[in-house]
Amino acid sequence: MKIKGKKIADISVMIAGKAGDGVLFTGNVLAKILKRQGWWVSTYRDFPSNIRGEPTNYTIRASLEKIYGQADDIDVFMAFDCGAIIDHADKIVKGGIFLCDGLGLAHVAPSRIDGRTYHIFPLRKLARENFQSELYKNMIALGALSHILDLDFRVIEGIISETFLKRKGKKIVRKNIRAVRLGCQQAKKMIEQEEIHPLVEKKDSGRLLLSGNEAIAMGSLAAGCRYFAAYPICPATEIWQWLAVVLPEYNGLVIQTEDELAALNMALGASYAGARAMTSTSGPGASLMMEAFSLAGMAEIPVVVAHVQRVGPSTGMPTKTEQSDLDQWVYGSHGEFPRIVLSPGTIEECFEFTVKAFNLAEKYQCPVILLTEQDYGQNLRTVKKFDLTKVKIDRGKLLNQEELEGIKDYRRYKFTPDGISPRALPGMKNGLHMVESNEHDQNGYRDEDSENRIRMMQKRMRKLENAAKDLIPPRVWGDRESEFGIIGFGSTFGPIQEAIAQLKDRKIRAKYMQIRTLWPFPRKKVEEFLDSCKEVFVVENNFTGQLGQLIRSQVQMPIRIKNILKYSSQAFRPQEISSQIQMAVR
Amino acid sequence: MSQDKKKKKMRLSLPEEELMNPGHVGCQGCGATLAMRYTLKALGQKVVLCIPACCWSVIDGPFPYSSLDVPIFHCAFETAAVSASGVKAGLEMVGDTETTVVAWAGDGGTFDIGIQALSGVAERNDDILYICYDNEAYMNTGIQRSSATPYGAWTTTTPVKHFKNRPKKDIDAIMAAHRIPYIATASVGYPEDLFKKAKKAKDIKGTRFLHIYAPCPVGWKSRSEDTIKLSRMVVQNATFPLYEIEWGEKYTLNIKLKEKKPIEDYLRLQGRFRHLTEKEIAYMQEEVDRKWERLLATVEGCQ
Repeated sequence: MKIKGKKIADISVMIAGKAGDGVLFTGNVLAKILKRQGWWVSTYRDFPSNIRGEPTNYTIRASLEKIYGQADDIDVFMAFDCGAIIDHADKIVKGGIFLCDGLGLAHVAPSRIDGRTYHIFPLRKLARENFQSELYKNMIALGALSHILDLDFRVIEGIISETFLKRKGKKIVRKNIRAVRLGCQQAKKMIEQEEIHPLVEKKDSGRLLLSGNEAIAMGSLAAGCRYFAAYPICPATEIWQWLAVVLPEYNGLVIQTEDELAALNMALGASYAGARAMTSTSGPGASLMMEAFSLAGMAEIPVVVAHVQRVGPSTGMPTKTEQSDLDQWVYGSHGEFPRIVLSPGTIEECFEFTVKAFNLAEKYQCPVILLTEQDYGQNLRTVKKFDLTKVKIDRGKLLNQEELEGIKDYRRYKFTPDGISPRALPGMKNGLHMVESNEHDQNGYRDEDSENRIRMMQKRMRKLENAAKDLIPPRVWGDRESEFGIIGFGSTFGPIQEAIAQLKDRKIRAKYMQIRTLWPFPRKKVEEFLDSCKEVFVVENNFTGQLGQLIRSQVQMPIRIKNILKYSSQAFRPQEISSQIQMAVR
Repeated sequence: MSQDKKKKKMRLSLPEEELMNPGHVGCQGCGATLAMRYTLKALGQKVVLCIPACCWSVIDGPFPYSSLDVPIFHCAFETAAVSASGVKAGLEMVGDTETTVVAWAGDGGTFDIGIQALSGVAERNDDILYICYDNEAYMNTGIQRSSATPYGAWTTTTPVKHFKNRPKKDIDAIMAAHRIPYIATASVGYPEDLFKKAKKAKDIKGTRFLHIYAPCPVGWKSRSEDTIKLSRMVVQNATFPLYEIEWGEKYTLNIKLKEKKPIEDYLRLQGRFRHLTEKEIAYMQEEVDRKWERLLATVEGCQ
């Protein structure tokens, strides 16, 4: 919890229970309320890969400043069962408040331990007695939270009627509002004034509450993607669940394929024929896509793959987060071919980079990977509305009929100085060509001549040599003059930013380089950064330090970097980074 | 006293022994768990299960809820059939020729991603028992359509606005075309029939294919307590008839219908069909009728 003056500036509420208890639903409603009261919101879901029964928790963090991840501590804890106490008691901050549905527990008096207050709050009992159904425990819990956080009741009512009116009708809306009021009244009776954590900001500032997956879906729509083929896989499926509803209205097509082999190959087919096409997947699906990935490289077909990383290897932990598939796309598949791997770190970047990915794919006629993570793929954060006027569509050297007819001897894979050949679509007059997975000559006909092979390899690999101007450069944050550097990609963005602030409080100045294009590797910029630091820490959510290894293999100078690694299936908390750096530099 | 006597007279039609323990982490009213329970009663303990990604790969998972008393091999998603085939060959190499190797997959892992491996195994007639528990969508990943999803159904990837407009893939006909020794359909609403078929399949050599209808209250938006009702209605209205196919040609109908019920009552119990208009339901009824007549004709032709 952060307090500025007498006001709370940053607060985290954890809701915990068993999968199927309605933890997600209650959390989402709370996140919406906080958003609408003008707070920056960031959620964090920790849920099992089954549908019912196992422990799950959902943290909703609200701040007066923009936030990009979870905080170190929990301030308010609402538990649907007592098992959650054991799992999370250590995360609750001093001065924090803990409400738990006692189930069988008899004692009602609150107890104070180590400056934390524990209350038994009989959610199910209240629900059964007042509404004849345990389902209402969620709304009663929300009511209790509304008292602790001093939420605006009109906002709550508004959101409840939005949620239930259309599907369930007026009666259910009224019943749910009554349940919230009941929870609020009970909490008032039980909780003392000093225990509550009132929020101050109360006005809607028109932001959006989005997950990275939704932002990618929106980005693809804005970028003119009209063909989306994919196969169900956690944690990437939300991307096309969003598009499945929306894309048909824009004359687009969303196809659920029979497997990931089909998904990427169908997208390649659609792209070859002229559509902007995309697929999405995660670890095991990406493994199945590797063959088509190589085909896209050889045949020079533009395509975008959104890969939302989960915990591997194999099935791993499908609903948890990791950064262990960097190597898969940077080095993956057979043979050598150009590819671009982008790594957004925020929800805004998910949107922007998706638009960029389509342009890069068509400009450089190669596969482009959007490498994200379960963490910000599935969790919600508030963002400002996207600026659609900034969306520019660049289809590269795609020829129109008139241009094509002006070309005397059209060759699909023509040797050009920049390696990029003019692209015609099948069926265009004067543009007959073959798109070939075998090594081919400039016309696309199969050619096993060594000299042609050498020239063709050089042509393809040349495409990205001068791409740096178009790629998304790394960004440097923090104190540029400091000698301690941190490098990271993807979801570590938020925690590293906050770690830098924590270090500043401890009189350690540090700066941070966010790598946003993983491949082609931004060698020069990284070398400059390394050169300006005495000590560099590479923060990654994996075991082997894949980014660290990539840096070592790419920079042409002697370097010493230390890895800060986490592979527990959870995203970093700021403290985990700042404390390790503090220990290392002192 | 008289009640005790009555109890004694009651005869159990299924063995009492349980190889699936209570306390699993399936949802309330899960048809897939019933399918496993009845099947294992029939197969006994000399069994190895190969389970790809599907609901069962999480139901059987965490200790202490791990609920099966047989060895399990969790294989890659698209490989249930071939993994089982490898296990069977390996067991034979170390001298075990008795154990039944079962590939246990959902409809996504069978109808969609796993069909290539399944077809390969069936064509070679590898000695495995392939069981597909069919809940008509990808339930484990959050209710996406599969090619086993019936016409008209809502899923998250076939939203109400664009509900599924293609029929369910006829996997049994596809398997019949492979001319394997044994194919049977079963429903968790008819445990004795399911038990009998699993037992029969166990004693046949070669590729056997068992297709079990298993309702999913979460994905179908039906009530948990309606699972058995739905899995009986689906047979009685001929949407999912229970029959066997031997060597791809000999069809036997196991549950004959005195009076074929209309499908509407069945559809109305499931939220996933709530949006359907009378016209669409009439079309679905026509399709069911047509397929039923064709099945009857095929069965008759075999006699």
